[in-house]
Amino acid sequence: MNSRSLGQAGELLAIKFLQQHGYRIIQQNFKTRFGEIDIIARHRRQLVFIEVKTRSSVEFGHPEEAVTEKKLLHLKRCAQVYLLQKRLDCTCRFEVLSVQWGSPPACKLLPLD
Amino acid sequence: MLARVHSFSLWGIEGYPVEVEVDLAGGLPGISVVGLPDQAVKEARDRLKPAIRNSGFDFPVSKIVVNLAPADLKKEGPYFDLPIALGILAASENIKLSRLDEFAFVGELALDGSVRAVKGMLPMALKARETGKIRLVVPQDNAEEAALVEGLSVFPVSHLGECVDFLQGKKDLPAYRVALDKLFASGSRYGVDYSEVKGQAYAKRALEVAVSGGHNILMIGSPGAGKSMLASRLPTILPSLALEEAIEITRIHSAAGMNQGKLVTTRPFRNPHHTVSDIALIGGGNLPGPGEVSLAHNGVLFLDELPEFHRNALEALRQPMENGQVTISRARGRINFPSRFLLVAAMNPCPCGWYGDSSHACRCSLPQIVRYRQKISGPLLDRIDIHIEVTSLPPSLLLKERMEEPSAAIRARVEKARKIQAERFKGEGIFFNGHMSPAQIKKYCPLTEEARSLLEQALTQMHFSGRAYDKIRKIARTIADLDGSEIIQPHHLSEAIQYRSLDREIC
Repeated sequence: MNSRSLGQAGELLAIKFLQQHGYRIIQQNFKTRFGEIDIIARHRRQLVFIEVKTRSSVEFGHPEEAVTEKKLLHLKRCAQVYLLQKRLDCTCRFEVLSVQWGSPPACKLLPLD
Repeated sequence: MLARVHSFSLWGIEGYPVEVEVDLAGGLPGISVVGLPDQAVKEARDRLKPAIRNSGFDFPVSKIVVNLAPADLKKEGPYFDLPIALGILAASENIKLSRLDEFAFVGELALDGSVRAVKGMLPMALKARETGKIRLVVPQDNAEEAALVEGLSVFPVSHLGECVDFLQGKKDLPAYRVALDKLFASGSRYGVDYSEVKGQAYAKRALEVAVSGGHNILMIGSPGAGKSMLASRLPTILPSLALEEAIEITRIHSAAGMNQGKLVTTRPFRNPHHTVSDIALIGGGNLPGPGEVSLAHNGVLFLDELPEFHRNALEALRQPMENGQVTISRARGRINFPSRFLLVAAMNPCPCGWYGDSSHACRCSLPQIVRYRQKISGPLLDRIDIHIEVTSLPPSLLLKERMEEPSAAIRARVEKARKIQAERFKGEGIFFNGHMSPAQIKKYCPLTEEARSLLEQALTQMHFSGRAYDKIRKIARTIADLDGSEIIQPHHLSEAIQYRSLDREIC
C-alpha cells in the first residue's frame, strides 16, 4: 500500500470510528489555500475539526507524534476560513485522530487544547 | 499521572530549591515546560526523548507538562534534565521509582543518557543542606564538589539508567566521601616561585609589604622589567588557604563554571585583559554572574597596563574595593558577590615606556607623560597605597646564577605580620593595616618625635601631597609589624616613604 492509499484507507476507517462514537460528519477534505481539513463533524453541539494521521507501523513513532505544530497551525487557519465562509458562530474544538494500521487497526482520538 | 521531583538551581552564587512537577495527560504528544524556563531549560525538551530512549526506557506517547516551581523565578541552565527525565519515567507508571522522594537531583543529560556535570554545584549543595534535603544525587564529575558540604549524603551517578536502578532499589550506590585533609595536602601547588625572579629585591620587598598589610600596589616600569613576572607569583606568598576561604572561592568559581567540579586549593590570580568591560570586571549580566573582582576573591587581581583600561571599568572598581563585595541589583532581586582581593596594577612610566630607563631614551614630551598618568583617576589612585618603580635588570645581574629567596620564606614573614594585625583589629571590623580609617591610623600608628620630624622633612623636601601623609603611616605600620616592632621606628618610616613614587612630582 502506498502512502496515499494508506491515508485514504485511514480516513475511511476514521469516519466509521467517528460515527460509532456519535459524531455527525459534515464535510470531508475541506480545501483552502492554507491546506485542508480532513474531517469536519458535529459532536455534542460543537463543531469538531479533525486531522487524521495514519501510520502503517510504529517503527518511526506513533501517528500522533507526526502531527507538528506547523500542521496544527494550518488546521487552525483552515478552520477559520471555514467558519468565515459558512458564517457560523458556534463553539468548536480540534482533535487529532490517530490510526495505526494493523490487524485490527487501532484508532485513538486525541483532544487539542 | 503526576510526579514530583526535588531539584536545585542557581541564582548568582546562591542555590535555591526547585520543585519539578511532571504531569502526563491525554492529548497530542509533546512536552511543554512552564515556570519561567530560559532557553537552556526549554532545550531540555529535545534532549529528554533521546536520553530516555537510549537508556532503554519507553518515552511515553502523551502530552507532558513540566512545571518548575516557584514559578516566578527565572530558571537558568540545564540543571533540570535529570529531574525532569526521572519525573517523566515516574509519571508514566511503567517504572516504579519507589525512592524518588528521598532525594534531590541535579544534572544535565547527554543524548545517550549519561549525566553531565553542571556548574554551581557547591552553592546548590550548600542550599541543600540549609533546606534539609540532605540526600543529593549529582553527576559523577560534580561529586567531589558536592561532597565538600558536611552533613550531606552525595550519590554520584554517571548514567540515567544507573540512577533509575538506584531509585528502584535494584542497585545500591555508596555515598561519596572526600578526605578534606588530603585535598588540602600542603606544599606548593602554584608551579611558580619567587626564587625564579632574579634581583628586584626592592620590588619583592614592596610586594611583601603589600601582601602583609593588604595594601594595594602599583608597579611602574619599562617593558620587560619583570612586572608581570613579579605579580604572577604573588599568590605564592599569600598566607596558605584556610578551608572556609577555599570553599568561599570554590563557590564563586563553581557558579562561574570554572572549577571542573573540584575544590579550589590555590589562591586565585586573575589578570583580565585591558579591554575588559565593566560588567566583565564587576559582574552582572542578564542572569548575574560573578566578575573578575569576585573571581579574584581571597586572591590577587592583576591589572596590567593600567592606563589602557576603560575609564568606566576602572571607576567601577571603587565600590568593590571599598566594601569587599559587589552588589548587583536586578528587578528580580539583589545579589552580593564577595570581592576581597589584593589589587596589583602595572603600568609603563610613559606612553613609549622608557621614561627613566638607563638603556633607552624616552621619546615622550612632558605633557604626554602627564596626560598618560592622568588617565588613572585620583579616587582610584587614592585606594592604592604603594607605588613602586620596577627597573630592568642590568645584563650582568641577569646572567648571574644566584640563590634567590623562595616564596615559602617570604610567606612565613607575611603570615606573622598578618597575625599581629588580626590581634590588633579584633572587633574593629577590618583585618589589615591597609584598610585603616583616618581615626584608626591616629590610634594605631603613633609616631615618635624623631619619626615625626623625619616625615615632616620628607613631606616638604620631596613635594609629597597631603594624601601621602596617612598612607605613609599605614605602610610604616605594616613594615613595623613585619619587623615585629610595636613602635614605628624612623627606619620603618623611611622605607615607607620609598613606596610613594607617584606622589613625587615628575621633573
